[in-house]
Amino acid sequence: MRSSRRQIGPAALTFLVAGAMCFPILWTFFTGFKNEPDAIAMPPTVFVPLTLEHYEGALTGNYPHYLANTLIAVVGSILAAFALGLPAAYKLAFFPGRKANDILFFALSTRFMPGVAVIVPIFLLYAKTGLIDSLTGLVIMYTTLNIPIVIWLMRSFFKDIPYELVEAALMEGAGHRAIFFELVLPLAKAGLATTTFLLLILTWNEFFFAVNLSGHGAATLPVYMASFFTSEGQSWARMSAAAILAVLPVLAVGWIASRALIKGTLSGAVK
Amino acid sequence: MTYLIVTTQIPLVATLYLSLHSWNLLYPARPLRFVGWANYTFVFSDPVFRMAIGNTVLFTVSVAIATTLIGLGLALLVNRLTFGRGLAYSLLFAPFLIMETVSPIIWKNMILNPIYGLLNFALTSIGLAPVDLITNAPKFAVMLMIVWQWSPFMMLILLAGLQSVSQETIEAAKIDGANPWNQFLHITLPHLVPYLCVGMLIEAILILPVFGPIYVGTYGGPGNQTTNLMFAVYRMLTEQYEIGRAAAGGIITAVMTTIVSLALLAYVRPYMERH
Repeated sequence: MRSSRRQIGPAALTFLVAGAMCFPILWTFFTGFKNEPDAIAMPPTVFVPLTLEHYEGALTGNYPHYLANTLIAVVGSILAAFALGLPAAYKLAFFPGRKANDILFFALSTRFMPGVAVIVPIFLLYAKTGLIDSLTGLVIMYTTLNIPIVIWLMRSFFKDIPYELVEAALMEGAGHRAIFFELVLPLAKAGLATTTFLLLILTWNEFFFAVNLSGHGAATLPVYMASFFTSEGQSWARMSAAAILAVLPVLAVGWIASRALIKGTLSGAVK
Repeated sequence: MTYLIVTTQIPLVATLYLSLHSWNLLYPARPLRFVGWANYTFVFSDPVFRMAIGNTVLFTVSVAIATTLIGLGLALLVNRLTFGRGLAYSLLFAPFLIMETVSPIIWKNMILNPIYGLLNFALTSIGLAPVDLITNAPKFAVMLMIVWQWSPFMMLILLAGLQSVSQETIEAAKIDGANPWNQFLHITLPHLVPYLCVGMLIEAILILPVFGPIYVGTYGGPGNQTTNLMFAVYRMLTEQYEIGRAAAGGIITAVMTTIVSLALLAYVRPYMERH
């Protein structure tokens, strides 16, 4: 064990670097509380009167509309991805055929495919069927993006459950449906939570499909933020407040669940 | 599975089909017409698309290298911590959680703005002239935004690697009188190689279609200087409605991604087969 005194230097440096990495976000958070003239003052101001005006203004403006869209797209696509992906994850974990690895890599390859490789026909199809600028259209698209992650991560969490348990239940004549809902899922609660968190972060932040497939009606928060200055005018303090509100839910989830997320995702990737 | 095949493979095949045809939505009277490889020859000869292909490679490679170096530094720092690891994680992990349309807003305005930005303040307070990165070094500015966002990702992967270094080997080396630098060079670094390779390949696949920083930060400009394939296709589709050309650009992006993916697969597959 090193002495604690020798620990202080490197630790201080670590926190200094970490603070610097995070500084743009913290500074934006702080700027959201300033009055407009102080927000763009040069040199930058620190000791100025603060106001809640911009955070309140952002909450009562267009933000709720986009927040609601984002929530619907996120929740809808996560539920659909679980409904479609969990049975596949169950099968691949407990009864993998000889093609299991091929299926896994195929699923992953669909997630890794850049959006531009599929956007053209999807754009045309949506334009024809009226799915452009609809939340249904976004949910369909995001479900596609989420299924591979459900399959990969949940398979690895299911594999932590001893196969003997499933085997014993089968011997007793339980059906797969019962085993899945009454035995396997309750045992994989932590994995479900981790996967949900990761999907929430990824879907909440998705921009490419959102900007291509939605107009004003179904636009999500990333699209709103991208067009912030054209729609809300050049106000730095207001922009800062809106930006923080847009990323806050994801930051909160990321911070609360950071350990589980990191552990779960890494183990899911290597198992 | 069926859902995945329907929603990904069919559009991919449709993209391929469309990329061999000429079709512009602005001229509905002109039907879809087979043109063979014409869209591809256009993409490879069009100055904007050529710039976009070059930028796609440049952004992907340079960001992967930069984030690896920064991520390794961060991972080594955090790995030594004996207290406050949770706080360090939270602070360092934050940039990765910020949506790709918000981080360029923050960078472009709060930091890189030539008059009101913090960078200008920092430079002038130490007596240097202010720099307008977005105008004068737009490629660098875009890369800076992407690097900031992706360094934490690399840090996480390398931390996982560092935590699996065999402590016995390190102890044995210490007893043999190896200094920390030699320990790192001969034990830690070789152990990290697979993590570095896999991390860089995954990152390349995810950064190749980077879109937010370009859309928000520079809108591909000034004068297409920061346009990458993703952005060029987006504009071809939503501004010019040239379906065939946009599709061809999409297929080229897909091919580039597939090449990196195959390299990753070749690297990971033997390991997967053993488990």
